[in-house]
Amino acid sequence: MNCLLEPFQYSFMRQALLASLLIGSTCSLLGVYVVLRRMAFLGDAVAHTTLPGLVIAHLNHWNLFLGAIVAAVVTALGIGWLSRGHRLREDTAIGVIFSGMFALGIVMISRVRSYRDFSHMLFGNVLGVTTADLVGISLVSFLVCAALLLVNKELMLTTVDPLHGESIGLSAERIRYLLLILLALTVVTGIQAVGVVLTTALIVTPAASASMITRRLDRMLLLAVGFSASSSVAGLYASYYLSISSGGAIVLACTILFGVAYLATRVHCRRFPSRWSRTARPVVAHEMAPTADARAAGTLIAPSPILGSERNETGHG
Amino acid sequence: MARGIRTPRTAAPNAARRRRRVMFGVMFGVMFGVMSALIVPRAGVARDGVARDGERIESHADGPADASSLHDPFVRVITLSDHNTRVVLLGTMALGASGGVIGVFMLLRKQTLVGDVVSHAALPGVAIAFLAMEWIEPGTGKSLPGLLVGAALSGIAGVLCVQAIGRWTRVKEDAALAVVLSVFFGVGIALFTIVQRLPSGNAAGLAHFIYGKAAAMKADDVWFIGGAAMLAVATCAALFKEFRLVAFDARFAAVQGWPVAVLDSVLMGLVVLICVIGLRSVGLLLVVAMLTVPAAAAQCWSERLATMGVIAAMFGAFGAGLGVAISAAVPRVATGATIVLCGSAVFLASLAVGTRHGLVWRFARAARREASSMPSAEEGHPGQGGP
Repeated sequence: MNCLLEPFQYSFMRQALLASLLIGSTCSLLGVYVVLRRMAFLGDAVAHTTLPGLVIAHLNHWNLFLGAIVAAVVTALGIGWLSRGHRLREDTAIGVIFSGMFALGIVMISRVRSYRDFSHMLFGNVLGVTTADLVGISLVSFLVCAALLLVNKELMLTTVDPLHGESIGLSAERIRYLLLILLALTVVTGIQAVGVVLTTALIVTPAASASMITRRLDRMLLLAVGFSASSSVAGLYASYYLSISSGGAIVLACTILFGVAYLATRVHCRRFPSRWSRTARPVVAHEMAPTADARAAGTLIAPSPILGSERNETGHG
Repeated sequence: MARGIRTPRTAAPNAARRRRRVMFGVMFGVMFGVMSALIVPRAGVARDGVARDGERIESHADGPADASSLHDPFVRVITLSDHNTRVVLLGTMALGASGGVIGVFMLLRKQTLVGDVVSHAALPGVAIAFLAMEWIEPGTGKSLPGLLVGAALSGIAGVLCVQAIGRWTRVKEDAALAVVLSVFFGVGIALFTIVQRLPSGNAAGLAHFIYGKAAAMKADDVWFIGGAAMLAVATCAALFKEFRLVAFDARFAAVQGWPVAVLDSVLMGLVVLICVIGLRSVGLLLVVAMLTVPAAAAQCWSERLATMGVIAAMFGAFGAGLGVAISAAVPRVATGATIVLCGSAVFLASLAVGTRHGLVWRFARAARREASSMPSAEEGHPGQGGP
């Protein structure tokens, strides 16, 4: 008991806990949509491209938080505009833009001083969060969560069935830009906790773990928040007792949970195969019962117990 | 590929071809001009050196120059009078050229982000190799071959993890890439904090792997980089037909009986090779740009694979050379990042005036269409998605 409470007699640890819980829940809530819409690398790109904004803000003694937010929003909109209408393929656009902007940031850093001042931007330092930072983080978290709550229905629809959304008059484009802006805001808070490079993990990993376990969006959101909260706490303990970098520890804890979630789904799959296949498993062609349609089409596919135990991504899910 | 059935983009294909040739010429003319501006003055300064004192020309011609007559750092760089600058220039240009060639195949195989994973995943390998070598024999932790082997092994492990996640879980590929990338990097960062606490582990030498330090390149390293680059390009040339087939239509290749998995593994091996040799000079955060940026720029110029490869190699070498020259001339500028910035500038120029999808031509065409206000047949031409 004592060893559980010991770290939190320090005020900086209490603040770090609060900050990482806030950041973790916001990131993972948004992360669910990011993972479902296959935008994982967009978060990475936005995180990397905030670096020049941070450096400029730092050099001019502006507020770092605001500088990062401006840079992130500008990049998110820029990537959205560039990859709109297939002007550039999205992964090419992301790869080129983010390495270019990141290089610009590093050149600016190396121009003014040594890397050491900026290493906490790259690798994050949640233990150094000040009260003012905490206020900013809570504001942004509140904003993002409120926006997600308000447009949850529309987001869900455009994620799952964009065509239906279009046909009932929802602008998928507008929703996408909204998501990009929210992503930019979230990434900036994530940078405070775990740094530029690891923010993606905070966004993607809990959501990916949750998406392995359930297919229902509401449960996925809850699970993702739970995963990220518990890994924040575990990561802070690990960082305190093993004295390793806090950002790395939090991300590692997220990943261990990812592994646990995977093992859990495997075990569950063995035990309750029927339930598993109904809730969380893509239906594979060769284990479909021969339905009336299949029989009508003359393609009778025998269910095979041996193949049935394997996962087949190319199946008609 | 499919030259005969390519739909003409303009009313007069001959004009398009001529314009392409002209723009090609202009682009390479500019590149050539910059490069020769770097090299030609050397002769002039050497002649000045002769004029001032006759025996100095020997020291200018080879080896580290005695710089008594050349005080200005910029002049010293553009005259290539430093042995060090020459070495770094040669090494990074070989890296840039080979990265461009491999990058074209990566781009067409739609696996550009895999390079990112490989380079980030190399970090824990570096730290583990350092710890292991220190544990076996204290003081030997910073030997470069050992660290690079560690980097290569953990880069490969990262790729295998991505493939395993894709094979056995429901997680989509981009999420799998992001998870693996950040996990390996997180492990690396955590290990680095451990390394820093070791008495011998002043991690300053290891931090060069993150940001890159091209100035630390030695002549031996250049032989190593050059050999690896030659190997990579030679493999691509030898397997050109197979790589092309897999890049454009992997399923057709599989149906034809080609070992697609083996070919993909060879390509991944080449990517790991490029990442590892680029690790020291460009740094693991940016080495992926050596693969993606020249290839993306080349895509703006041609849709023939061989042409793309040659152009990407030229762009890569040019970006690397220009970056090294700038960072040597301007004090306190990170070389690796400057190389990437020069590559990005080349990419932006190609995006604007490139003959294949250049924005300038597109706007001009749109304006012309507005002017004539006639429906044209070029609406349905394929986008950036590759030939």
